[in-house]
Amino acid sequence: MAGGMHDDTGDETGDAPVLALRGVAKRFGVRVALEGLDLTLPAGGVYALLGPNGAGKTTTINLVLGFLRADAGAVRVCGIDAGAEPVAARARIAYIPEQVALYPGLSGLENLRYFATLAGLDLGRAEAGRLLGQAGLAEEARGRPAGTYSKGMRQKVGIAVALARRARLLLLDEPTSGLDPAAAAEFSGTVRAAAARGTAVLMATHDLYRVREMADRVGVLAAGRVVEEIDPARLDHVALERLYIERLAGATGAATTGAATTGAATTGAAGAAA
Amino acid sequence: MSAPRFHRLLRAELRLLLREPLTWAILAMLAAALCLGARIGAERVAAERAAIAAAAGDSTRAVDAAKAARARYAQPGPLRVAYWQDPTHAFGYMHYFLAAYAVKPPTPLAALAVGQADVQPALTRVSFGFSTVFDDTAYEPGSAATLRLGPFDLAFVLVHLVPLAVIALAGTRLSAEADAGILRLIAAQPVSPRAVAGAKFGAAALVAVGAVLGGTALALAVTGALGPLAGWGTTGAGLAAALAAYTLFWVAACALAASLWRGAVAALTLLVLAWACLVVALPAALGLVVDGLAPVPSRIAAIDASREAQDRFYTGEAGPRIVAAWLAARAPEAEAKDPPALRDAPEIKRLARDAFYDAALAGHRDALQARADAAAAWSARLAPLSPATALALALETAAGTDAGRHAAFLAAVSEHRRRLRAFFEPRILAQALRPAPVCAGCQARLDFDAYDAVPAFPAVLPAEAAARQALLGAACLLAAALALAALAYRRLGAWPA
Amino acid sequence: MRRVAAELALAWRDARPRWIGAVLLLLLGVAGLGAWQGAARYAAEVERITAAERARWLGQDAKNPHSADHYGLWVFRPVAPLAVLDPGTGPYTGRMVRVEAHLFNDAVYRAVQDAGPLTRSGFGSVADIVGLVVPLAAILLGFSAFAADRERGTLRLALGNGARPGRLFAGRFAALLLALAALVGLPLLALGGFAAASVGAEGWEVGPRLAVWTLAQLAYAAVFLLIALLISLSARTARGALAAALAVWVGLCVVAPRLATAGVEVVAPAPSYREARARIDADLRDHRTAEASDAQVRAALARYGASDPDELPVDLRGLTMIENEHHAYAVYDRELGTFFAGLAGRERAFGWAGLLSPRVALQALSQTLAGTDFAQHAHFVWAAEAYRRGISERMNAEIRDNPQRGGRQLVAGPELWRAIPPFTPAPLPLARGLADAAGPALALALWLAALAALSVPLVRRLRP
Repeated sequence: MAGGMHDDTGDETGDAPVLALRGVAKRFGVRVALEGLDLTLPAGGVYALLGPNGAGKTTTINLVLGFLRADAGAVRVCGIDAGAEPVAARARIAYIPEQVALYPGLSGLENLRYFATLAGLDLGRAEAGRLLGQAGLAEEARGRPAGTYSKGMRQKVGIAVALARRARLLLLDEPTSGLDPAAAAEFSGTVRAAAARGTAVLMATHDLYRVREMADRVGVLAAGRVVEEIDPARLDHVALERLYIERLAGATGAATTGAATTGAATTGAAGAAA
Repeated sequence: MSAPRFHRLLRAELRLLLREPLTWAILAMLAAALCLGARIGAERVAAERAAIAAAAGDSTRAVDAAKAARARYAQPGPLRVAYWQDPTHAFGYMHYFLAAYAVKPPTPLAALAVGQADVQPALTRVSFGFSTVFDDTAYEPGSAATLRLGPFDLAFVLVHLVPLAVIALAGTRLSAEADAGILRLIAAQPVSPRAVAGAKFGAAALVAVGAVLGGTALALAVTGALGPLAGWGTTGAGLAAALAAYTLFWVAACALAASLWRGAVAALTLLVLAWACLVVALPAALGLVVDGLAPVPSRIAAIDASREAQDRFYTGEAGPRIVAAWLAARAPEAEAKDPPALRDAPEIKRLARDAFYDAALAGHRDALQARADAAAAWSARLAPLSPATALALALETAAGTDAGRHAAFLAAVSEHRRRLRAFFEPRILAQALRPAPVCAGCQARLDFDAYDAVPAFPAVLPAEAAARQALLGAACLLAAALALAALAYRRLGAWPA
Repeated sequence: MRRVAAELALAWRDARPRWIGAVLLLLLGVAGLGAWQGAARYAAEVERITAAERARWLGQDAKNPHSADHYGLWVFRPVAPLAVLDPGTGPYTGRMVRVEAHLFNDAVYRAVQDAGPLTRSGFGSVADIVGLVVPLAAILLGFSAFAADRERGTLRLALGNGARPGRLFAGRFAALLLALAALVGLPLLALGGFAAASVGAEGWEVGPRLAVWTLAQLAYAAVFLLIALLISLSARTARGALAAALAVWVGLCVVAPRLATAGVEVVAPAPSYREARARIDADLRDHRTAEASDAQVRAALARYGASDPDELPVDLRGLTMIENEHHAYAVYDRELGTFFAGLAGRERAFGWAGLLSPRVALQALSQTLAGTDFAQHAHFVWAAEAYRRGISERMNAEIRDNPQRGGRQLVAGPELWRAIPPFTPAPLPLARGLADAAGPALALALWLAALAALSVPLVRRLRP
């Protein structure tokens, strides 16, 4: 890759997991969004956070990106405290939001080069084209203004940014929502390929079908906690769905019978996700 | 962040900005406005130069006509030329033929700002009459509607429109990205919000400052509005710095508005209201403060005083006593001559009367002069309180159209009137005391021919004041810009939650 | 009507109209009372000095009538009561004229030359506030009318349940216009009435003047209310509507007026007063030489068939003076008549420039209705000149008709001074003002009509 440069790579701990969350808690005022969340993700691992709206998925992603600071516990990306050194942590992360918004006046190629510049990379045109191809963006689309792109095409630009960054951790927020089945399948392939190259992937989703395809571990998140961790290879997606609904009902049932804080946590996370 | 990396980021932002058609539309409109402003300024300066040239022509004509009359009357003839028709007589020439003008010549940078020039004339004829009480009566009535609305000059474009152009250019940087959702992807990159904001607003600042300075220079060059700039280098550099700082101030204001993270529309609304307050409302409020600090003495009271003096002089026996006292003071040797005849001589009566009026009005004139000085001084002191007035004052001072220069001009006009009086008075008096016929039987008196020795008005170009004000304006504006930028920098420590 | 009342009640429940009203009231009050104080002080000063001048004129010593003509007096432009609301051209035109023999003196001492250099930002008078701030108030009142409902979803609810867009628009416009009329119109009427009661209002037809003047201000406010509502009809969010309306405000109230000055300069260039005066001086100079006087005397003698002035049935000096004055009158009438006509044409052009910006239209309309326009100034200047000529004619006739032999000088006394009536300038009637206001009134009406026409398709296409 041309001129890849990271300013902030000094304090990396070589044998640390790519992502480690220990006892993470986050509140918004009196509302609890996350409570004692533990999660470890090694290189090449793909972890899916499964949960309904407001379960705390987006809050988790915001914490990993350093947009938020945890009230308790630690969020470490390659051993770096994401809350204390967000820029250094983000240097190791590539993030693809649910809606990849691009500059509509610039082409996909130009958008890619712009975001690479933001990350401190100097990407040549040829290199950028190659990365877009790798992300699956058709050649004739690369020069068109991004304003004309579909969601899937914009997402491919997002993946290209991630590829360019050679990030250790790929964060995906609802990656397959709004994609047609073919595009979603193509996307799954791209993610698996990245994982095969050693990139750790954390995705937040409620697409049970794609989760089975992509993830090697699934955490069911409800009311700010991982209530169940599953190996998706062991279940078909019907079983997965049943388990998910059970766990969710259990968690919500616990919330309604338990303290009022749990209900508040749900709305609080919804607030954070909004 | 390392310097080369920021440099690359800045270049990327610059490319992004210059890719937008809106940028070019704003720059084109700004350039058009600058050219129009420069053209209007150039036309005004040309008109002013033409007026000054016409005045100089009139002065020359008066001297030539007097010399021609002198040649015509320097031979015996039946015609008897009355004193008020006689340019060969010191008194007649002084009061009825002399065309002496006091001028405030335009500076090389005069096209920058109309300033006070549309209500305070650059040219005034020095007269010795007392009918108007004060000297500052000359004016070009022009069009009151134009005066009310104000001119479309460069100062208007630079002070009023440049901030609007900057707001249109940079007012939605960052906040528009937040609205569109692009900010989330930007924020996910390993780059601090300060670096991104620095690059975005830095690029906007580069484009805006370049466009404003380049556009102004280009507009001045294209319209030929500049005079020879020798000796005005410091002023020009100071103005360029002030202009750049003013532009930066508004870019920093845009950054500050963006740092509130309330979205593009809120940022724009906030910026336009800030503009209305700083550029329109605050200067007006400062004007009220100046009027309060330097109240205007009553012109009508002065008129009343002048009429009382006139009444005193022309009623009863006061007039002859005043003339006698004046004559005794100015020419003690006159006692030996024939005082009653001397006292009735029209020129003696007139000189004595004018000296009496001068004394009667001195207090009123001094008060008005002091007020003009005070208003100019207070305005200069208060101008730094608003960036708009700070820049406007720097531009007007460089253009030589500021209130301070006009106050000094009015004082110089009074001084010049005294100088001319001091030139003519001894000559008139000497002739009255020792009437020596120059030419027996000639039609006119022929006792004055020093037409070319009459002192000319010492016109000045206030280069030093202009340089000082430009540098002061630049310093004030730079401080304000830095303060805003620091505030924005502080607020931009973290991405919005 | 019930709908308007309901909308009005809805608008009034919002805090916004109340604080807009408070700010407007404060600004108008401060500006109006300041102007009233200035006007009252000036009127009192003028009254005092006018009486003193009359007393001085009548009390002057016995002297030659021509000396009395030179002694002359000062006359002052009376203050228009509505100048408190709109000083118009007043601050930019001289208010005091020295009336004396031979000279058509300028009206001197303009308020603007004594104002501080910062005062000229166009914000000082009630009219300036109406011109700049009332549009802002209208925008702040109206920007959210539809956009906020759209944003909240209540517009979808209203339209989905059968509300008719036309009625909705008309009701809201009427309610906001009523609110604006109350916030702007009432303070203006109160200020105007107060000014009329305390500053001499004789001959000004203050009642109808104030009524049409206020109506013009409300029409102007309505223009911006319509603009705000039309933007609100099509903007997606209330904030978007506000930003767009503010941009329109900057364009129409700040930029366009100055562009209009540049445009008018091209279409109707200002005649040069300096050049007019130079032409007058040149003409009179040639007429004043010793040779010209000599020829004039000889012509007069020849006319009467006399060889010695003492043989004439009239006073030669009086006769030549009358001839000279008549020559000067003709020169003044020609040159200054052309000059004033040129300026009047330029002012008319400004009325039409109102098509470029409603603020320009309002300025021309407002000052004409307030009696502070250029026509009133010109009327005063020529009235003062007519008064001056009346004095000169009377004094010169006295000299001409009382021939003095052997170079003696005629001496006249109080009887002649009393023959000159006091100067009583009367303003131009309102009817003349209304006729002059046709151009700008039409421009403002066209703005209203164009916006109303634009509202039809926008209302028809109203989408939630």
